[in-house]
Amino acid sequence: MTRAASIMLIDDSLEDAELIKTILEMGPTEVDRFLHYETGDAASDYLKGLTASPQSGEDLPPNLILLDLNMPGTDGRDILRWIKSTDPIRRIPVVITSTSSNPRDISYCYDVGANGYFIKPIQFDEYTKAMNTLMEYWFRVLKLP
Amino acid sequence: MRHIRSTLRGVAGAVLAFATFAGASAQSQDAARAPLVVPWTDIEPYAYQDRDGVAGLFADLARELGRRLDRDVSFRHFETALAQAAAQTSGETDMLPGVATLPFLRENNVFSDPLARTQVRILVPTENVDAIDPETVSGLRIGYVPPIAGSATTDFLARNEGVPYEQMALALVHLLQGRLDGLLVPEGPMLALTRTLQLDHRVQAIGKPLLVYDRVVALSKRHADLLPAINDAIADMEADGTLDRIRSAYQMGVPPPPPATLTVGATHFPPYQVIEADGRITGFAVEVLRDLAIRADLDLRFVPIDAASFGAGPGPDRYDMLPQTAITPERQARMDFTLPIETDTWSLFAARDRPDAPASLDELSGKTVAVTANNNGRRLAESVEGSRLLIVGSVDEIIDALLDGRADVGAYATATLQRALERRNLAGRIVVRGEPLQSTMRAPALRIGLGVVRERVNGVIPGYLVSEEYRAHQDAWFGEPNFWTSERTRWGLVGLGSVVILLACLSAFQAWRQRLHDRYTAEVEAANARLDRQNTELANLNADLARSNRELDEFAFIASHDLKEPLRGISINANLLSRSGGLDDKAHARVERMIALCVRADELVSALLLFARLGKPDDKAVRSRTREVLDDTVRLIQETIEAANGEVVVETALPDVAVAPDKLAIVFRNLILNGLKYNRSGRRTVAIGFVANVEVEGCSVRNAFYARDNGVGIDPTLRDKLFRVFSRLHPVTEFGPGTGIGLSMVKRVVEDHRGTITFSSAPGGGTTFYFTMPLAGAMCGAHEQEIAA
Repeated sequence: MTRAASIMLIDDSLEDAELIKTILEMGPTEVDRFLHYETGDAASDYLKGLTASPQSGEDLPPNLILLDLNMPGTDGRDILRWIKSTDPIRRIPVVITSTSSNPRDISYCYDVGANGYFIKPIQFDEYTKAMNTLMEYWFRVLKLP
Repeated sequence: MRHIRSTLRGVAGAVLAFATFAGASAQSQDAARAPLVVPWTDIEPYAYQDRDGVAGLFADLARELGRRLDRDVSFRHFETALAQAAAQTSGETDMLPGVATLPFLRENNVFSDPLARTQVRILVPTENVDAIDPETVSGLRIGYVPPIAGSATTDFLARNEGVPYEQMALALVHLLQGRLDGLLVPEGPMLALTRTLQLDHRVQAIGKPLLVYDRVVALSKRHADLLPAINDAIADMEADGTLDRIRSAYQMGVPPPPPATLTVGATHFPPYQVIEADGRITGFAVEVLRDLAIRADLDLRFVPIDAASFGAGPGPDRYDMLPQTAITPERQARMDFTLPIETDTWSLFAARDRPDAPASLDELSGKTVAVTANNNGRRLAESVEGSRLLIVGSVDEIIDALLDGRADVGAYATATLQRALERRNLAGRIVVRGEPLQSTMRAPALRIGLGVVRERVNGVIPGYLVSEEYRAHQDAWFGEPNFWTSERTRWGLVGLGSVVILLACLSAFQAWRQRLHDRYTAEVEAANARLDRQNTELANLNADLARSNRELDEFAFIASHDLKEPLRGISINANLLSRSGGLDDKAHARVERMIALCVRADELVSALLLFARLGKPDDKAVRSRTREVLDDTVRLIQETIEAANGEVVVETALPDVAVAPDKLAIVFRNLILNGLKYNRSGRRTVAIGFVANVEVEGCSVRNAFYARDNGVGIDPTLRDKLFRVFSRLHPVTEFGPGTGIGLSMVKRVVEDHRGTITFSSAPGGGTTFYFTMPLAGAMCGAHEQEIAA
């Protein structure tokens, strides 16, 4: 069963955002909505608005959040901790997309409640393959809330 | 124990004296000069068997009378006292001396004048003496051993509560426990019992005797003609003290109570007793007894006595005490002793020019031994058969006899004779022969009946013996006379001077040592303070270093991230550009080249991060199974190996190492990949092994692992460049791209584990890398042996 994907990307890198959007468009998974926020603050503001009045279709929460860790200002770790401690959005799966292979970062994210940790490959083919696998996993294999 | 038992039998005998039984008819016998037959039965102290035959009161009296009557005496034994009495009653025996005037004996016997007297009195605990008046007292619990004769005793028991006992000893115990108020007993035998038990100071007889009876000689009527002679003999014995001696020996007499002032008899017997020319009595034993009397609150009066009186010992009609005398069994039977004051020895003495003189009792036979009449030395010499005694009057006469040759040897109290020799400056001419003959305790002696006095003295003796006064007396009476001669004084001064100088040197030395010690201590303390400071600094530095390492680790990650981000941006843009489709072939090739460079830069950054993090120490003591790590490594890069048409050969056993498996894998992977990469052989080979000892470029390496390839070899001039980070010896075009970090990482891992890495190579001839790693403990030896085999 294929389900409609509503994806939120929080990443300060415009290249990454464009690349992911391109990959998603080319990929087999149908993506209803792709929301990109360059800062954590903007993303959390949007998410707060959702929790207040979840009526219209536009206001429905995303069903997967891709989160970069290293961002200027409110960084990914703070956003992750806030999401995972706030009802009801804490049920939204969060997959970390980062270039950091630091084991301490990985441990921290899983401790706080991340649902996955994805190290961005540098090569396009690998990136495409990895992103497609991710989508396949989250929107075809798993049952999301 | 034996004493107690025999005394009890004595008590039983005394009681038996009151028993009545039927007499037997008398028989007349002609016994003109035949031995007088004396019956006896075994009851101490009246009669008993000892080493020399029949002994005891009856026996002594019988022998003494026989001697004085010039008649032989023979003893006839009877199993019981009843049988004995029956034999005398019937006339079967002739004479029974010391017996009570028993009514049934009268029938066929005549009685002599009294020899001794026995009285029955009330005995109470000493502390109750003043509280009880036996004349009037009533309602007391009185222990006695029936039967008791006499109207006075019957009246007394009627007024009080009589408690019969079979044994006098048990009654005595109950009296001392407070279960009885008094005892009704024959006083002499009871005194013997309490004295044997050393309880004579705890009980005392009070009031008038309730019953008195005499002891007489019962003589068969057949021998009535002998009675006047016997009475004469008794009178003589009373006059010359023989009876007194016998009575006190067997405690037939009842001693008077302790007087207010005790009389102490003293003979001239230096250094123990000394009677000065002016009649003053002094001496070691005298002064000691005076000290003891003060401590025990006793009043003493010293009187001079002669040798015969000394020999008789203390007694009611003579004197109460002797200052000190040797404790012998014979004396213990007739007098009391306090706790011993000192040990006395007796020795043999001889002139020094008589080296053949006897040195032990065994050698006295046939020799003339000089002794004095009353000294224990005489008894010792007498005991040797065949010895000839030369009995002289004093210790000085013994010395004279030894000097003029009248005696071969003298036997005398060691200390006394030596003291006499010193006094006469003869110490060198008369010497002690052999070991002391006997060693005996000396103690003040008391007459029997002074148990209270004895215990009071005993109470102060232990404390007195460690006192200054006692030591002063010892020094005064036994110390060397005139010790400080002028020569000795001179030598003493020289010695004293030496000691003073020695002490001065010693104290100077001590002071010097103390100064050294102080200085050393100060230095040690200063060093300790420095060490403490340095330790603190070191701890701070370690903390700084740990923080710095953490920060560096973080820095490596952050730097790699920050370096990668722009690379990724370039790469992604280039990728998007390449896929836009608007580029001609040449431009497309350039964009692809940009992408490749980005990838390469990303790899370099990752490698750099890996290299930077290699230096992190292992968490704990680790250990790798080298062969397993190698096999795993080969499996992981199997595709690369096959692509290069290569193979990895393991040539020897590989000992385990104390290195983390992931780090050991870095070493193997890089060496294998290097060997395969820089290689033009048809079949590219890397051989792995271990050697216990190997020579590399003139240096000996022990316990080395090796990786030998059949590659292009390394130019020795490039040796220094080989291990440098990012340095590559060959252009990319020759062997393809690489980071140039592989061997740097190998070297870093090896050196981080205190190992070394080196290689031997020739251009075109392949390369062999040798590296050492810490081997994992005991495995090392086993593997070495395995490898050597």
